[in-house]
Amino acid sequence: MKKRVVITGLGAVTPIGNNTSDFWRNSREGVCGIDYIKTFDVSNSKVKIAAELKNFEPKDFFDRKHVNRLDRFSHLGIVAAREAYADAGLYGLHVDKNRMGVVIGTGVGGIITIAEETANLVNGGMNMVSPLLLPKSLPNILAGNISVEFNAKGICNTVVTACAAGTNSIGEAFRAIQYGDADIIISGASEASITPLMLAGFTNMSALSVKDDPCRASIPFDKERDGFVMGEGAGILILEELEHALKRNARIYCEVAGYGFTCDAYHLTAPAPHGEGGARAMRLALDNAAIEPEDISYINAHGTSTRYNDKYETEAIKSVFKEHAYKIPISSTKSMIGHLLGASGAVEAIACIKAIEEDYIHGTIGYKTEDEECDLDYTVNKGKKVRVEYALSNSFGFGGHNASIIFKRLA
Amino acid sequence: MVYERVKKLFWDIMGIPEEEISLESNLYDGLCADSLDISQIIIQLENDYKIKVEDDVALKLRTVEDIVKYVEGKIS
Repeated sequence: MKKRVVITGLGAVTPIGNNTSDFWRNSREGVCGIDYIKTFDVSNSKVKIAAELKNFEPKDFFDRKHVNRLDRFSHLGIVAAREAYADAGLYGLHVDKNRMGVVIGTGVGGIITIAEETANLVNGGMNMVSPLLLPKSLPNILAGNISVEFNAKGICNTVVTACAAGTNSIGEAFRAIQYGDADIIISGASEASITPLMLAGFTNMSALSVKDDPCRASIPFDKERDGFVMGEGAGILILEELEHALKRNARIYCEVAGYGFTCDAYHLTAPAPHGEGGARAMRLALDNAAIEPEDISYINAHGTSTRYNDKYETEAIKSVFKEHAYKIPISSTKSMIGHLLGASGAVEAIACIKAIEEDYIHGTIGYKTEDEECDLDYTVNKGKKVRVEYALSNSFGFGGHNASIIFKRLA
Repeated sequence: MVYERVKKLFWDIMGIPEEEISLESNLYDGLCADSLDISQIIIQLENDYKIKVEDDVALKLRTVEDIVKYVEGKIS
């Protein structure tokens, strides 16, 4: 029989707060974390805005050696993991480290390091490339770093499914505990890719909003939406087998109820028409949770603010939930923190878990203009009190990846 | 001169204050360097002094003095 899996710890580093409580308080207040890019010159860039972290200094968390030795995506992930580990009460606790695992997602891993070392190669030749290029930039290196940090010696894996990676990583961790492969898994995702290289790549494929007003740029489901806004951050969760958590009297936030994932097999970047791949992922997650569509009380949408994602995600939700689609409050965290790419699903999972804990759904901020093609309840501009029994989070990624995960109030 | 440069590299790369480093300092047991630290120090010295440190030599370096003497021998 499959084991039950619960959430016992949360950690977040986001553009609206460098820990979970700041992130959630600012989410409830509808704070916009998007601003003009400050870390590099954007005078020649069509896109000048992003959701960068505020007041995050690696030297506040790491010694000089590890400030240098880790890429920013590892810095963010480890800081979030430390918060989650502490939140779960695991520091100093005797647990079987051979049964503690790590499953981490990322979109592009250490792209800042790759860009820097490429410049060193071009400008200075091969001997100017740092020996740290690979140990800093490999996508799996954050999972390795987290395993070292906590001496976690069980399963260790990395999920790289673009913007679905955060949800996929939590889903894979969920499955691993269900099947008895671990008692505890540190899971989630991290992304730190606001660099000229990535900004140019996304800009030139017309994926980003070119609006100049930071708080009217990431406007999911608004008719005037024109693309997403890059964000950076990390979300880490402690997943734990229910009996293991109960035995140690852990504080339990909620249960992971179901997980589904599919591929569009349609196009590398465009979502399949009508969001049929996303719809199948949601159905699989509902089936996996053994619940009916009517049981879902909240959907944290992928809601990127791109024309096709929001239109097709709306269609997908309607195709799965039928008339109930109009009754489910939906919101997009990306309206406040931009698109954390591989890390988005992990931070949005935290928004779902906090929604269950506090019976409060954050709003989709910056919304002004109705779109007849996006006609569901997107909890526009202000959050609201809602009893949340089951929360579903969607994440879709380049490559056609679709992942849906369902969290449930623990009965 | 080389000694000063080596001490500065230990600060930049590993965060070890210069006053905690002596010529006798053991790279591994004393300064707790690992292979990645030593690789960074060697490649910096190669670039600074336009020398080439052979891999088999790098593996034999045990103390700060070994590094300093090797580099001084190469540039003299």
